[in-house]
Amino acid sequence: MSQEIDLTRIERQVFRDSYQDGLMEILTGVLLVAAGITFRTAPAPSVVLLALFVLAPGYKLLKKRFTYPRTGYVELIEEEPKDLLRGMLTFTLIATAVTVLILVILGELRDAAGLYRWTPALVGVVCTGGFLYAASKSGMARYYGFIVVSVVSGSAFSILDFESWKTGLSLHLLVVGGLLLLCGVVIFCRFLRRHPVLVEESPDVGA
Amino acid sequence: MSAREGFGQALQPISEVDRVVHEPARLMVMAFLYVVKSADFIFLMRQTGLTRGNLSSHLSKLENAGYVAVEKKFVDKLPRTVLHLTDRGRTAFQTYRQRMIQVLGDLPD
Repeated sequence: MSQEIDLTRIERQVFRDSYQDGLMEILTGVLLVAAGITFRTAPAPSVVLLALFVLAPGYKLLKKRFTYPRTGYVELIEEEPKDLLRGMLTFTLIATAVTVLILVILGELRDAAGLYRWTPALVGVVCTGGFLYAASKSGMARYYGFIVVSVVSGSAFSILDFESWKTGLSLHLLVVGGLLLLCGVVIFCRFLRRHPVLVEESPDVGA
Repeated sequence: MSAREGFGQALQPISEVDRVVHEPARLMVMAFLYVVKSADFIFLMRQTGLTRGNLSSHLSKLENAGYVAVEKKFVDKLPRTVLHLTDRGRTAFQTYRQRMIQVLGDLPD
């Protein structure tokens, strides 16, 4: 019997269930759109501050208000921040190296201008790390779709070769962020419609 | 040693299986609690598909065995029963898994 206890499958089911509300997509979408808008005007740390002091508490509040009354409360086992950071840095380094290598082979990196021009593509590839992580944790196909969009959008805005590379990067962040936001809102509305609020009648356990 | 004795010895770990964990509904509850830090009653009810009374009864058995810790609180004036596996419960679940894998894994197809 125990051989059939597939803990990875159960973990995926729990992860999928707790992220089925679309709030994570909304949060990431808002963050990327904000980064796309403020990229040329505000200093980069402002987006980090927005994430830490507005979006993270807002996310918890929305979860408490809309998700837990419908699906029940669950606290997932979080990975060690050290391991998470190491994983992110390793992925970023590998993704950057592979992208640069491909661009060198294609003859697109003859000078610094070439590197700037392909920044949106590089950011697009690096962004796939987050989606890959979510896909591996949940097994949900939509994250693979976001990976494709991120790479295609980044490459497209690099190929279009705007006057400033910053324009391409801003547009890339707006497209990917906008798509995430839109998907998140649709998923969230569907979630609210499909899942009525459940009230726990005081169970006998622990009485 | 006869073949029967040898076979019996190989299956000996089955008789040592923890019966509190072995019951399918409780095993399911423990498996869900094993992969999370904590979860409430509603979450477990949805995930396992057990009825309120059934889940409540199995949780009581797990609580009595010291495998599950139960915390009752009110959130926005609504009751919430939060559950998590105790260290003892985690060890019991791991031991159960190892034992079953050991026994069933050795059997021929």
